[in-house]
Amino acid sequence: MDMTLLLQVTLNGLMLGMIYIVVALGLTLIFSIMNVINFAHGEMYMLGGLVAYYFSEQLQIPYMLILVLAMILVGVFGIVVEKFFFRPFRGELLPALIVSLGLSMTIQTLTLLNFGTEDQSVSTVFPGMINFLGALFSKERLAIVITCIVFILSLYLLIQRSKIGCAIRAIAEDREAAALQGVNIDRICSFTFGLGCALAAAAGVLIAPVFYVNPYIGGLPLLKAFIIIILGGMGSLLGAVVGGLILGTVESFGTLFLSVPASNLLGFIIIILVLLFKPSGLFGHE
Amino acid sequence: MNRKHYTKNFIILGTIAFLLIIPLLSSDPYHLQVLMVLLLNIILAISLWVIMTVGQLSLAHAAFMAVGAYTSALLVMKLGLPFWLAMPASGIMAAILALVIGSITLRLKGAYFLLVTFAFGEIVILIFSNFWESLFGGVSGLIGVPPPDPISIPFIPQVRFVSKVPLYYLALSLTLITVLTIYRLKNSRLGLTFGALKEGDLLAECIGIDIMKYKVMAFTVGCFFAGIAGSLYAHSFVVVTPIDFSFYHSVYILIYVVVGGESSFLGPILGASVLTLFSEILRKFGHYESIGYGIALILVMLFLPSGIISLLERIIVKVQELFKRIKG
Amino acid sequence: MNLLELKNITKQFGGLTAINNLSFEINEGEILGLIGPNGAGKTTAFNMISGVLTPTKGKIYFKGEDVTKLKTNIIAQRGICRTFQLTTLFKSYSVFDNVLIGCHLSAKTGFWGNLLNTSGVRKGEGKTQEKTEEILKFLGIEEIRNELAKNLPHGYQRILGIAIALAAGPELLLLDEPMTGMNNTETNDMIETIRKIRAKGTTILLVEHDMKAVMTLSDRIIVLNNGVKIVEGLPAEVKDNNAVIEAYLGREQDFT
Repeated sequence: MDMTLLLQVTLNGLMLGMIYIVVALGLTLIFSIMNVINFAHGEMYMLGGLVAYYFSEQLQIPYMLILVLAMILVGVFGIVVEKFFFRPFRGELLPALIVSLGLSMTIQTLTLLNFGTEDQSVSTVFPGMINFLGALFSKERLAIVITCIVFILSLYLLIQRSKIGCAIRAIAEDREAAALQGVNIDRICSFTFGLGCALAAAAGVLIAPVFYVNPYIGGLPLLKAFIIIILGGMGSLLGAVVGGLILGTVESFGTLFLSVPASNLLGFIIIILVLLFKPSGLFGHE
Repeated sequence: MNRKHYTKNFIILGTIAFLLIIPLLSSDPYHLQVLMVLLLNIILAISLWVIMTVGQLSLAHAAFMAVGAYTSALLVMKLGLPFWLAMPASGIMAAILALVIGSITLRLKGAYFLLVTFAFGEIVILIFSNFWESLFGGVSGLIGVPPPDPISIPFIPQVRFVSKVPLYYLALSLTLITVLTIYRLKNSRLGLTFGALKEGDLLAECIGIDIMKYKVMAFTVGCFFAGIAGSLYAHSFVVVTPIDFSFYHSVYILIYVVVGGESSFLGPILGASVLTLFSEILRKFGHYESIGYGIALILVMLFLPSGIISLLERIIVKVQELFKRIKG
Repeated sequence: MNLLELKNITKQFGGLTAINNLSFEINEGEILGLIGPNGAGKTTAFNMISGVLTPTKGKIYFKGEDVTKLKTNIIAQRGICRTFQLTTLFKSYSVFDNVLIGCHLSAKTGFWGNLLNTSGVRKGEGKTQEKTEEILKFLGIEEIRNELAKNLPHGYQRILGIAIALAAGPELLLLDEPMTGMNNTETNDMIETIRKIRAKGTTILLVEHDMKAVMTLSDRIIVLNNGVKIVEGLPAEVKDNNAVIEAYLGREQDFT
């Protein structure tokens, strides 16, 4: 086996893994404090990609600015959605699940009607390749990995060090106790939901130049994010990061040595094995 | 009390009678086709409901239906077994798989079980679409599944499943059998025990209930009927493709139950009927179908959190009050 | 003869020792009071006897048989039932159905029998209904049989909790603070109820904060502090014990 090929596969797996981690972090964050499995999360990722397409191809805005704008737009959209559609069901798994499915269908089709079903490509932001120990890796992909790492670290700092992060952790631990201590549950849920959606949108913006954009692209990252949070433990941020790295590695090597379906199957088999020995996932609470 | 019973029985018998004579009222194959889908959805919704009575949410129901569909189609096509043996075999196959999977995963609750069943459903579809292609037919699935074999019943001419009409009656009979069986189960001691698990499983354990045993039992029964539905589907609609049983199909079945009303036996039946017809009507509007459907889901959850059945119950109460006032 | 025996039980959570080398016996037919300040380990002991928790070390014997590692539902089957500190009930069911569910162990629960509604199952279900009636009457709650459990006032919810446990037909009944949140009249009624249950031959382990009630009811009392048994004796002995008063320092008003 060629070493450079192995290296290249690892780097590509790392990039995909990072994107999935950012999507999964938003999903698991929302679950941890609201007990909502948000099936409309993939739509936030798709909206991010769409915003990237419009702003970069139609308006030619610099990409860093697009990233910030998309996060703000989709984040605010998330806050509105939370207020009107999820707040009435906070903590109730089933109705919130159905509402999120309804939202997912509605958002997807509304986009479809305005955007069409055609694949649109977003032009590369960092053209060119770099040679890393003999493996060719596009600058684009490297930039994605670095930006994702920055996002993950910032989120970690936000959760661990800031006041609002402390409130989020308190609610995730025990909602009633947090309310008794004077945490404003409504405001924190609103913020967290917006933050989760903004993260999904960021992932959508980042990956848009590598792939393409259409109204259906939200499905795959949502599926991967589900797998990651089952693997890592639902509601655990560390679990999402570790789960994402495991999945990215398994899939890229599985694809290299086996086949795409076989590597997908391998991902699921790992989930089943983990759950057999630790039903709440690698880092989940019992 | 007795009076109410009579009304209820009258409505049920009336509905069954109506369903029986439908082929006489309309011979349009399209109408019968829609009704067959509706009946299939009722079987799926009410059997998922059994699993939900013990407090578990499954997103693998369509996958168990797929297991039934492939089992039945392959037994008939490859081994030449008659449909009438293959159909129960497909239910049993789904039930055995549910027994194994359930024994491992039913320790998990709520969102955890939901996501594991989701993962399991994806595995099943992945296997049917990508592995053992000579057997399962890959992404394009199995084509040309034969209709059920003709049957001879004394005193009436031999029934041959060449048109939609006999297939419709087959679907109707299987639906009635499923609904009656589950109704019996619900009103037995087991129904009470199932409900107890949902309400408080620690308390249930402390009075001696083996919670795993009953959760696995409910899951197995529910998946058995999903398997039967799969078999009926395969032999009624000729083609079986993996995409028919995707996770989205499982989601739809879950939606039927919740939108209809999870807490009542009639809820899932009502939900499956109303939503199947609703999406059939919406179909004319192209893409607007999913928007209409999506918005309907959100509205029902926001304004009728206990499902459409609660609206119906409220109307019945209002009507009764009205009658009382007229009498008084 | 002893019905239940705890032998050198230790329970650790992580590095914390909740129960340290605890041994005691419950004799057949008695009411044993288990008291101690908050965090003394009463509930932990309770959870280990009922199988919700497994001891780190030590053995529990019921009628001479080792039940240390058995699951909760098997322990219930052997004849130990418990109530809960919080009112844990089958909330959306009626009072009657709650007790009927409690009769699980004496009911016919076979799958095919229930599905086909065989005569055996019908007869069995008739019997459990009778038993439910009996228990409702015995506890004086037959009038509220059709109320939903979640709509009951607090006092009735506690009695219903006991009714469910009794329906399982225990030889040993574990009561976890049955008087919490009750006024004087309700407490006195509960004392009478517990006496009646014992009079029918059920052995009782009582964990309770209300000292007056424990002193009145119990034949013997065990006092726990920091996971260790500090005193065991008759109510009068315990009342005047210095170690006990020390453990409750600042809470002597409980003894008034």
